Amino acid sequence: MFRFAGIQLGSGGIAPCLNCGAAEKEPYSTASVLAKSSHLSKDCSLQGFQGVMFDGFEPFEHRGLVEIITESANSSFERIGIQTDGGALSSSDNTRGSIAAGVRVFEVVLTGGDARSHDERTGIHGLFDAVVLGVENITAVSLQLGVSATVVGIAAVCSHNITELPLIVGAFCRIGVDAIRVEIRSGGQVPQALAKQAYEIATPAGVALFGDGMTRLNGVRLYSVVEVGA
Amino acid sequence: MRALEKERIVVALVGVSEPGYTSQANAYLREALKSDSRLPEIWVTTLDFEISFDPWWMVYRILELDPVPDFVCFSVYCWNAEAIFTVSRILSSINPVISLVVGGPEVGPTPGETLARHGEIFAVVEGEGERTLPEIMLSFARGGDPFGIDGVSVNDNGRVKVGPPAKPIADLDSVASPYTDAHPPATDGSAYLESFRGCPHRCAYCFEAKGSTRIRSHSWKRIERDVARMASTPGMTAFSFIDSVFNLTSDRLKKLADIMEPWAKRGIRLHTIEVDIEAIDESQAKDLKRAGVASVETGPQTTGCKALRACSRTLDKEKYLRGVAACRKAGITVEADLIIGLPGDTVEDVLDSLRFVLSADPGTLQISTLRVLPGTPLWDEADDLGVVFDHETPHEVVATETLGFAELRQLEVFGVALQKLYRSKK
Repeated sequence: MFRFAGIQLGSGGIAPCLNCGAAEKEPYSTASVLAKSSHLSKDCSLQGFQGVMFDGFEPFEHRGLVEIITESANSSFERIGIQTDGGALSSSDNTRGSIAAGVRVFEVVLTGGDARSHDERTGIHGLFDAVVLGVENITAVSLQLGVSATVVGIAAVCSHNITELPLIVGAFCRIGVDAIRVEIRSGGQVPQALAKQAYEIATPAGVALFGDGMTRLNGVRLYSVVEVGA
Repeated sequence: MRALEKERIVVALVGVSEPGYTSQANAYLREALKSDSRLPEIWVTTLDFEISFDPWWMVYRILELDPVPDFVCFSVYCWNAEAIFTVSRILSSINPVISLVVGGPEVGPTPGETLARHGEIFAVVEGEGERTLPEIMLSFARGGDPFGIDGVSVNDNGRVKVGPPAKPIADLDSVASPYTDAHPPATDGSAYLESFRGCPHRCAYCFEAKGSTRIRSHSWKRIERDVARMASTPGMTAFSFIDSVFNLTSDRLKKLADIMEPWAKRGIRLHTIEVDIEAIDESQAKDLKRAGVASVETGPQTTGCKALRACSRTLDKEKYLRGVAACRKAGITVEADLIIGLPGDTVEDVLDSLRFVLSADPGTLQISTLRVLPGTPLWDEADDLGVVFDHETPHEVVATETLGFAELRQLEVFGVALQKLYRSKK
């Protein structure tokens, strides 16, 4: 339904699976990100974008994050999103700062259905618990600031954790996200039986599930992120 | 009815509302009772509860009243019916002498069924209570039987007696204003005024028209007086009108804008005004702005042709988009309403409706699930239209011929997420 212009903050991805062999993490320069953002924002509505999503590199590790978000907030983008591993959101200062600067859509990644699985897969101890706390912080800070912020769980699956999809979806439902987007990081398809199982966990919990491999509702997506290059 | 001659009547009007709101209906009823010179001394208390309040504690508060009321009256809607019937049941079991009277859109159209199902209820008022409730009190004071009063059905010791329907109040100015010096309006934006009753449309799912498209208006003098009383309340910043169509005609809108403009210039804003968006052009948008309108509420409810036809609605997409654009240009937020589960709509129709509304970029999106309400054409025609709904309140649609149960639930979840995402603007 919505289209976000995806602008990568760097390479290496968010919460990559160690078993897949993590790509080298490298932030792009603030100037290059700003140039791309500025160019896009001038005709974002003409291109059919309703917002911008900064992804590709952990935003809270990017030195220019504050400047990038502030510039975007002053541009014609109505919705600003970031994809994050959620670690930094466990600090309410980071969450408050992001929302106050204009971030309204948080994509938070999980690669496992519990702390052991997610932390092992990403190699970051405590990351799962940080996501739980981060989502709580977003809800609390949004309420305090009187703004609406959407939290979307990214169920990041590859050949190593595809069978965990229902568990990841269940974890997101318990954490309390607004929607879940399935992202297949190694290509291929989600087996239909798993997709169905995931859907039947999310829907009764009142959480919209969409994305790669999900075909319900005629395959309609709540939103899509169209990467526009670095 | 107990045949007692009464020199004093004690009435408790109980409202059960969403958080932040008080019952407007009870304010009207209170003033109707107090301004009726035929009645003996009458003590009227209004009690307002939030819907989340435990019904048992509502009973506790009612029983605390001193003196004990002769009548406890409730305005019943589909969303508060369950709580009210629980209160009634408990209250009646503790003090069966109190006469329980209910009215409102949930029970008015089905008085016989309501009385049969809820034996503790003494009377059901159908239609406008401002005239009928004082008649019941008058009958009580005289020791008579309210059965026979138009719009009143009673439980006569277990025998349900359904009275004839009441005629609409012809002279709307005869209805006392709900706001007085003793009971000023809330200043937090939750207060409402009305300039007319009725609706020119007959949407199948709505009870607003109540079977007639006749409009009954207050006089301009009364509207001016009500606006002045409302807008001059110390601390007032915003209020609303509950008119079904604020821009009923261009001339009427101009007149309302003339009345509101001096107050708008002092910062008073009108919010969530229901409009016919397709009638709004630049000229009407200017008048809305002049009236201090900050936000309007409108359809389309659906863009599906079959559902529009089944619900006796029309949609001109070009005019809709023009209306939204004119409002947005004037700085007015539009709340676009969509209903999931209308008869005839398919999954694709609902998704197309969502896409259409998003393309209009109204500012606010309100997605709800169809409720089949008593007294609406849909209530009567549900079977023919293939609509299966829950007969228990709030009467949500279960399935239709074109949308299965699971699809409806999936669309609801999708709609909620979309609504949230749309709202998530910087």
